[in-house]
Amino acid sequence: MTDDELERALFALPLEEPPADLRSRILGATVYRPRMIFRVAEVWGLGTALAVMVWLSWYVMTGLPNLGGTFNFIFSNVVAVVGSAIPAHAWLWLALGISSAIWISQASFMPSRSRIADH
Amino acid sequence: MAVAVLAPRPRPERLVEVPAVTDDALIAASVAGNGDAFGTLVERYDRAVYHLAYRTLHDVEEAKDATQEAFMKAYRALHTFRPGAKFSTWIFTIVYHACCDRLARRKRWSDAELPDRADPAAGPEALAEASDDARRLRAAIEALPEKYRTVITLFHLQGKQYDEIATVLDLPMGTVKTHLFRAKELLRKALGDQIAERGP
Repeated sequence: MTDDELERALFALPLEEPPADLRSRILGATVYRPRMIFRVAEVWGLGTALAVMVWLSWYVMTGLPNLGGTFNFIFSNVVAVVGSAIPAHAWLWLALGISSAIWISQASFMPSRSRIADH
Repeated sequence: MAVAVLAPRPRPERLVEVPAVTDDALIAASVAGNGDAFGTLVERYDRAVYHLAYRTLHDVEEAKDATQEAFMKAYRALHTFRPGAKFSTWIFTIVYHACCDRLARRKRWSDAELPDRADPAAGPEALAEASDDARRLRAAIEALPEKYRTVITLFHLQGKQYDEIATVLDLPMGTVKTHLFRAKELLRKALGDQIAERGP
């Protein structure tokens, strides 16, 4: 076999057929890849902040003796102070105001489909 | 000679096919955020890149992974691509390095130089391949030592552009020519032996 014959045979050899899902896999990993909400640096920052917070919480919890009693003392004191400072009818108005605000935020003031059709 | 009938006409370079949009324009558009432009580049080169990966690794799944990895790396580093350079050479270089990493990992796990991990099932192309000569040539290429097989595969993909092959393999041009010469000799010998075995 001459060099020319071998080269012709080589160039005529068809390329390996790629698997059917290869192209979609490549595109899925590149152009169609969902963009990250946070950048890598931001993820590192958030992770570090979270780790510090966990460590700090652990440090405080293990450092305080009788944690349950301390929490109970603080909570009951806060409730007592707030309860004595605000009269009962003020609580009623506050509840009414909050529920109205929630109701208004949930209501839709967009025109209905039938009204749009009428116009 | 039996193999010669495979080739009705010589193809000096497989990848030169006068594209409507040049690779450089597609790369510029991709860098500007046009995903379709990169999709066109993938369409243009995925087959050749997979071919090189498969010929180097002899394993369908690993070849797929290496091809995907190469395109991902290229996509991320597209802004560093030097205008005027050949995208094919660049992507072949990336996939060749990915394949080398995988081969090195394999060698770490096994003492064998190249474990036989060829896909045992014949693919649709192999089944449809009518020509015995082409099958014999494929088998002869598969049987080559790795360094010769890679050189001959790149020669197959990039034609007689020895400098491109040397760039991809990071070898001196002289070494590429020597490897190619030896690879061809081995192929000729293998094909000659097969023909001799078949008899007149």
